[in-house]
Amino acid sequence: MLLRKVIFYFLFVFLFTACAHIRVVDESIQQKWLPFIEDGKTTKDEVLLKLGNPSGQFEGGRILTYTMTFSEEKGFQVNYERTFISHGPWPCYKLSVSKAEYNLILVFNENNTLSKHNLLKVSP
Amino acid sequence: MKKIFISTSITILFLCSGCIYIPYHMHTHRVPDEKTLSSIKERVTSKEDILMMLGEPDRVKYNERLFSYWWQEEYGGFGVWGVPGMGKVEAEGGIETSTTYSTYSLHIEFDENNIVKWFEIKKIGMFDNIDYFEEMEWTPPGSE
Repeated sequence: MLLRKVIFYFLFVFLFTACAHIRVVDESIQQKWLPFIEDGKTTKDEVLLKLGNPSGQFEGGRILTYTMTFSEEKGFQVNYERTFISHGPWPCYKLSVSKAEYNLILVFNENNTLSKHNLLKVSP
Repeated sequence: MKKIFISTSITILFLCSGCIYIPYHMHTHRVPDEKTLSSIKERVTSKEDILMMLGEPDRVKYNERLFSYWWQEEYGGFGVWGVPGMGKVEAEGGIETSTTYSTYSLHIEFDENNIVKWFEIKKIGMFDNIDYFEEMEWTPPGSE
């Protein structure tokens, strides 16, 4: 009886534990929903035309980042919304963070062609 | 069928046997794994590597010289105090929850070649200044 209690206890602990680290989204999902993104082919102009203004630009525009949300109906969509995470009991202890669950990082070469990219799931 | 009946009975008995505490642990915002964090090396890792691994920083300062990332983990538990509607425990029956957050920050300074100059991982305390670079009186190179 005691053993079963212990088993149930650990089962509950397991069920209520949701640890999702930052992870790279599976390539097949990227290809399905963002098919125009291809290393060595896609140009920066194409990306800007399809996705609009990036949420971040680094190294003089060589690296673009997009914060994105995903839904089965609409696929990946750029999302610039911000939210707060609180690190203290009072309202002033708030950190502004992106509301988006996904980050798309695009690295271009000197010809403004995509050299590599990564789609990360950054929030559960 | 018999096994299901036994398991269900034990669960009900278990829930009605007094108080139990069911802890949980969730990552609520951008938690990098140990492997990713340990791969960051001073004078080796580039800004491009950082962005590819961690995504867009939560804060960028001084012409991209400084990046800050924040992440948060939620710890809590459900305290089950008997089940409402089960006789004597009805009056006190119910579920209480408790939640605490652990917030961490990763601060990175890059050199003029966009290579990590130094970085620090810090647990943000309740009374800590979130602007770490301001707190440590960081000044942009050349302005000292």
